[in-house]
Amino acid sequence: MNHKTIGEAARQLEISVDTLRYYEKIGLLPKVNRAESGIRQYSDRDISRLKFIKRAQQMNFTLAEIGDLLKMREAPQHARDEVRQLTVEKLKEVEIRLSELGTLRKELSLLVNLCAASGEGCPIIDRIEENK
Amino acid sequence: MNKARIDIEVFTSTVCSNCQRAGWMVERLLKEPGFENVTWREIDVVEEIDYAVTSGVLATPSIAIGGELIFSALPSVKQLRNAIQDYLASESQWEIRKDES
Repeated sequence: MNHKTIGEAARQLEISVDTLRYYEKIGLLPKVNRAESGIRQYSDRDISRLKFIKRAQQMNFTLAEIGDLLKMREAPQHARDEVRQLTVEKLKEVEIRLSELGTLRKELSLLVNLCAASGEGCPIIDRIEENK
Repeated sequence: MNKARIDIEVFTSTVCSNCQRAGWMVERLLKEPGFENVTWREIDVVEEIDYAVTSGVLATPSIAIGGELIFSALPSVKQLRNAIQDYLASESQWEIRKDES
């Protein structure tokens, strides 16, 4: 199995070393295996979990919510009803965000195409700026 | 003559070289026999960007017929005429079915 040191994990995930230690301290990440020398060895599973935590944080989920979602992620069939309910609610939030992002993508595509059609700079963006 | 009444929406922007032509083309076409009841309007995509995005507009000029985006670039007169005729025909069929039910 591929193991990463805390520095390697931090670089890959763009999360600080202190944050990684904090996640472990509050139980968001189970105790990370250590080498005989005491150095943390992050497994692929740890990295996957950390990626999930990062994504959920970017969606503005609280650490407590993320903790519950992780329980669901580990054992969906054994999750408590509250955790299942929370997961359903968070799924709805993700779907709403996706829809909003889709609209934003279309809007930005339109603006980029309008700018591309213009020979000189980007008058559309200039006009929007002027109206602010 | 057909009684179907549709809206043609021409999505334009101030920086688009073909947009003015699109408006002229629609205006001229709608003077042809059979298109008397067809209405149209021009929409500046920057002024009504939410509506333009909802309509699926990604470039200008774009033309929607009956709420459906049909052209994402300037069509030929023939293409536009055919599209309007197709739409009027489908509208007429729908009206006939509605009357029969």
